[in-house]
Amino acid sequence: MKILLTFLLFIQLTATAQDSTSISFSTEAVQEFKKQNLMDEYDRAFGGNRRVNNRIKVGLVDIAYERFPANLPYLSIEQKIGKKFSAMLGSIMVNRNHTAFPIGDLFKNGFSVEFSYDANLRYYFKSNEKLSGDYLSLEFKVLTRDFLSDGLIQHRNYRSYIGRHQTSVNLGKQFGSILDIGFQAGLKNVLKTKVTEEGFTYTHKKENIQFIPFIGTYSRIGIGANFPRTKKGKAESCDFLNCYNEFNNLFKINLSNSLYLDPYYGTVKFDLAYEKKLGPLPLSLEANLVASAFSEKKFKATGNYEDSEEFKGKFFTFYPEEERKNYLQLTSSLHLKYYFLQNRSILKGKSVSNLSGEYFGAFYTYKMGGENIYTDYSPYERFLKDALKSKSGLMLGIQKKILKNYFYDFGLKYDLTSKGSVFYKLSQEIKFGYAF
Amino acid sequence: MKSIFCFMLFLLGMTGLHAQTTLQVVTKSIQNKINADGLKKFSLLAEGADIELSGWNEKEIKITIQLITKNSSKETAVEDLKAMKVVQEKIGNTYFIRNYLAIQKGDSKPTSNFKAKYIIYLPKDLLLSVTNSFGDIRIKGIDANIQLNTKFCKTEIAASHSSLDLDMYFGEMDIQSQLREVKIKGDHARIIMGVHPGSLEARLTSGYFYCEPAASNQSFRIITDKGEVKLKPQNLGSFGYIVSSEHSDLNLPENFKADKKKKNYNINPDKTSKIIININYGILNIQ
Repeated sequence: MKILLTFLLFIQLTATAQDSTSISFSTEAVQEFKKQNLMDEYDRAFGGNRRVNNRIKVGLVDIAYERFPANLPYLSIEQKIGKKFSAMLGSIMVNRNHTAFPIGDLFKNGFSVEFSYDANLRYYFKSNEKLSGDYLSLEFKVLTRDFLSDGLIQHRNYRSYIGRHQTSVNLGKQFGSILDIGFQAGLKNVLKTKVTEEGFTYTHKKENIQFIPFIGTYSRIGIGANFPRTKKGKAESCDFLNCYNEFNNLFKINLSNSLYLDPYYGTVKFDLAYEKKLGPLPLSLEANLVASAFSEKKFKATGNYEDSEEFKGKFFTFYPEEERKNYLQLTSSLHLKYYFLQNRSILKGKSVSNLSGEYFGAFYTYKMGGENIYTDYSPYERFLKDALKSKSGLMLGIQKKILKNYFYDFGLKYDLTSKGSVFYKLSQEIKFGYAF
Repeated sequence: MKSIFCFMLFLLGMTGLHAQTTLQVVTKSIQNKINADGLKKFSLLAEGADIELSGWNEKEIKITIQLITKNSSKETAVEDLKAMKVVQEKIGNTYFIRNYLAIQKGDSKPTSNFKAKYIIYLPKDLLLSVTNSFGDIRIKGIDANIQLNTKFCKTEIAASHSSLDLDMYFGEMDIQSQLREVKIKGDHARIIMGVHPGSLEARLTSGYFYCEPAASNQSFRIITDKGEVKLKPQNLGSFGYIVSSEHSDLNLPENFKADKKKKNYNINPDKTSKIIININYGILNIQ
């Protein structure tokens, strides 16, 4: 850590010094003091009244309804209909090998993808002119598990049900092509799973199909291309200067994977962080507290392994009865971030906000409770169970403030304290939400 | 009657005098000298600045920056000056300078008016990149490539033999130099070039463009929407002219035998130096 701080100080001190500075005073007589217009950095002087007819967007989306809340890649296309409506088609890419793949696990286990598909009919309360603003939508989503054939389940996700499709009413807000957040409530069509003598099974028979209610939050962050590409901007012809905001501290709420509840599975998460700039360096310290509650109704594991000829290797066995388990978990962490490209970004005309840009640094995490969230049904889950309560390591990431009060923070962490292969030490952290 | 008239004039004058406001002007001056050895490019990113850039034969860059606030209250002008920041640093082989206005989160916006002034001398063979809005830019004696991105600026280039890459949104440009290659993207820009011996590629929306194409073996291409283009080739017959127009007024020389109803022309097709013009809803004058 000392070496790191010395290095950071050295980098900062290499900045060019100014030769001489002086201040002088004078007066000027004018007929009228005409005030200069100072534009807020998020106002647009040019092209602000652009019309958008359709949009293609890629990014990351919450999947709190899965057993491992995560953010997965998605692609969507939205088309304006009339003056208030739009239709949106989307697809989420899921890694079959592990739903909530830490990036290291991805390298180790490979990447076998399946897709879920969704269709949205949106009603924008004000206007769909920019495909932006508050909306009410009806969403139909085909969930991936529906494509599995009947029979034994090889997948690690031993849940009480397997989702087929879901229909929901969403109340949300779309911020241009960048962010989409909201609440949803609906019905999920699921296949009830069973534990039989053969093992853990499900079939597409009618008696196994159920409708279960659910509520939740959702958020998507992405980049998009708006069409038509031509900007019809109205010029701000009065004299103006951009007026930027410098942030020496940020209070952040991560909105990703905040809430999901259905009769079998639920997760509620409060993820708060406070980041403070340290002195004149592009250096900050962030304290992060995550309180999570999980509740899951699932088949009780017998604790025994059984050989399976069909799938090779050993698999867990279960009792046919279900049980509900509730877990609470509190994770606190400290991050020291050095925004190493900040000066370069400012000089090239990008953001001048202090707590923004690419960073590297160190982290320390301490976890309390929740040891049994990941039951020992698979080697990976056993690893999580055995993982150290406290971890520390290095990280590399990017944090940006977007729009007026929103931010995203993508980080890649390398754990120096855990034992095991490099794959288990590497993980990613994705946050986006509200910043004060 | 005369005396009443004089008295009224006096009163008007008095009223005018009383309407005047005295502004307190606070100026922060920063002076630098930078060794230009190893530098290939100089980049200035300014807002609301008056900029004078002069090329010289020295191997150093001399920079004078003035950050100015004006307010009726001296205390406010002094306080607001803190919001105007300037950063400068060498990154790789480029020297960057930027001025900007930044306030702390939660602070109200300053009430003073801001201005920045730059007087910079730099090696004439240094690539130059200047971005500015709402100000005047004067460039002279630069021989390397100049990249300009301006909004609502009045710009002059003199005594330079550089190439130019211009992106102009509302503003005026006066080029009193014989530049090499010139690329222009203009929107509501009024651009006046004198004799131009190099090549030219211009995409113009609205605005006015004047140029005197000179010499041979050059390519001239102008695409404009709703713009007025006036060309005065030094030797009319040394160029071939390819004109495509829609809904435009074409005023061509008499010897072109222009037909008012005709939209497209290909004149002197055997000439290797061509002036190609694509004009929609505009006015074209060739003299």
